[in-house]
Amino acid sequence: MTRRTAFWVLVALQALVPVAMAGLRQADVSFGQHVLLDVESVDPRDPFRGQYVALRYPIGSVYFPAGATTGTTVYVPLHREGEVWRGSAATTTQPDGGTYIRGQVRGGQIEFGIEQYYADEDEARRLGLALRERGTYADVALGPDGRATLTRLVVR
Amino acid sequence: MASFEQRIAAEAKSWADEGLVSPEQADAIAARYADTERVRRRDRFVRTLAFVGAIGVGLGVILFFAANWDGIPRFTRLAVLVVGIVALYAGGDRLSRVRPRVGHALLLLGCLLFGASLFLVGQMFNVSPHDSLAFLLWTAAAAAGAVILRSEPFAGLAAITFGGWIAYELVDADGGEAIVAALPVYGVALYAGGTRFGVEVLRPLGAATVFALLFPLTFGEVADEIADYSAGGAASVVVIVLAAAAVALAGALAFMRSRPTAPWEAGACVAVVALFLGATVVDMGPLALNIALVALALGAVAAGYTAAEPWLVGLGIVAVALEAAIRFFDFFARIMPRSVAFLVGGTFVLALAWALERNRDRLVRRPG
Repeated sequence: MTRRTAFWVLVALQALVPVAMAGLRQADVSFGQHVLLDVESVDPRDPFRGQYVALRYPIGSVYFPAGATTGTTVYVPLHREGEVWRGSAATTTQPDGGTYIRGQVRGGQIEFGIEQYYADEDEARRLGLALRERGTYADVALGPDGRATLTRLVVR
Repeated sequence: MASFEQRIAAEAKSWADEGLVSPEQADAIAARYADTERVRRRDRFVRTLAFVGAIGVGLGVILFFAANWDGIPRFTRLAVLVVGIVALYAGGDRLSRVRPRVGHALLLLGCLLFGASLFLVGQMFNVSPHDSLAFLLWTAAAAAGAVILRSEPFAGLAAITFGGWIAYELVDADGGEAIVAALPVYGVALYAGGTRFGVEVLRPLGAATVFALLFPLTFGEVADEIADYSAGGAASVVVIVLAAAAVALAGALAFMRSRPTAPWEAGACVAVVALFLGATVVDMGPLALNIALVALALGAVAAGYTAAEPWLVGLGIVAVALEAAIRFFDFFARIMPRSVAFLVGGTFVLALAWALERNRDRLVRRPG
């Protein structure tokens, strides 16, 4: 491979990586199962990505096996209670069926990669207030392996 | 107005046309002035200006994207990112032929935008991507660019983003405190590898990282805290792998025959790795760590002087001056009346600066 070909291969790969990342997420949003989850708030700012509402999920505090340390992948099976989906315990093995969400153990909690909702400053403030004072739920799309993508916050 | 080098080249050509010298001699005369220190300095200035501009534009793009451009549809944002990356690389490649420094700065900006896009796609979908993985992908892109384009700035970007990966990986593994040992050991690897394999940009990056992280350890309380900290499994593995890499590169440096100071520098590299690893196990006390810092700084001055590298001399001088100033306020002010402490400490720092500056001046004036 000539240096010139290698250069254009590198450029093509760099253009494809963000497209692939976005494509995978969009596929989950378009074809995955959507669930409503209970959500609570905290609110900082991300230097890389701007203003966001930081979220905490009650299903992030469910029981997980003692052997699961920081970085361990866990799965929380979900069951429906009315409109909202809840979980009661996490496992380290991927469930064979049913609805479940994938997360990782971090600092004694489970994180699902959907702990941030990006919004402009005004909307972030409005959502932060709504999260503290009213019933707010997260509409989450689940991929085939339980990978979660937060699509919107629903204020009731 | 034409520069001195351009006027000499024009003169040499007219001498050849008039038959005063042969065309080959005219070329040799022009070439003699084309690579002077003045020209090199001007090239460095243009290159620095172009890269500062590229970094400024890169930061502006990141901040613009980060300022929540909610009005723009998601896939338009993605298209802007992808088209931006390709356009910068294509523009940089085209411009490199006529304006190599500015063209190269655009290429680097393309890689900066690629890194930004890894984080911004996460923002579009409200997901927290695995930050350490994003830094690793960015490192891979920059390292590949460094090899393909034979580019030092790309190598520098790869070194910085890999440092970011180390830091995020340790924080992810609940081993944030291990950064104090991991990053300086990584700095040693950069310095040794950069020196051995001639990647100049890695050397100041590595040396500055080591000094910057050695300073906190010279405070008794910090050294004590680091010694009490016991890293977990993953964090220990990261530090041990980095230490092994740093020692291996120092070993390679030791056998570099073309550099007279190489064995000494390799020895210093191994000593620094041992120092940082030791500091995470036992409390060495502030005295040993202060002596180590001063010895390392004076070693940098000596190596820089011997190898005719003013930046290394400058780094050593700055480290010694900072150390003297810090210790002055930290120690002398406590044991002497304030006025005497200022007089003694101030005189000491001035004398030190004078001695070091004099040696630096000699080096800068030295031919070659």
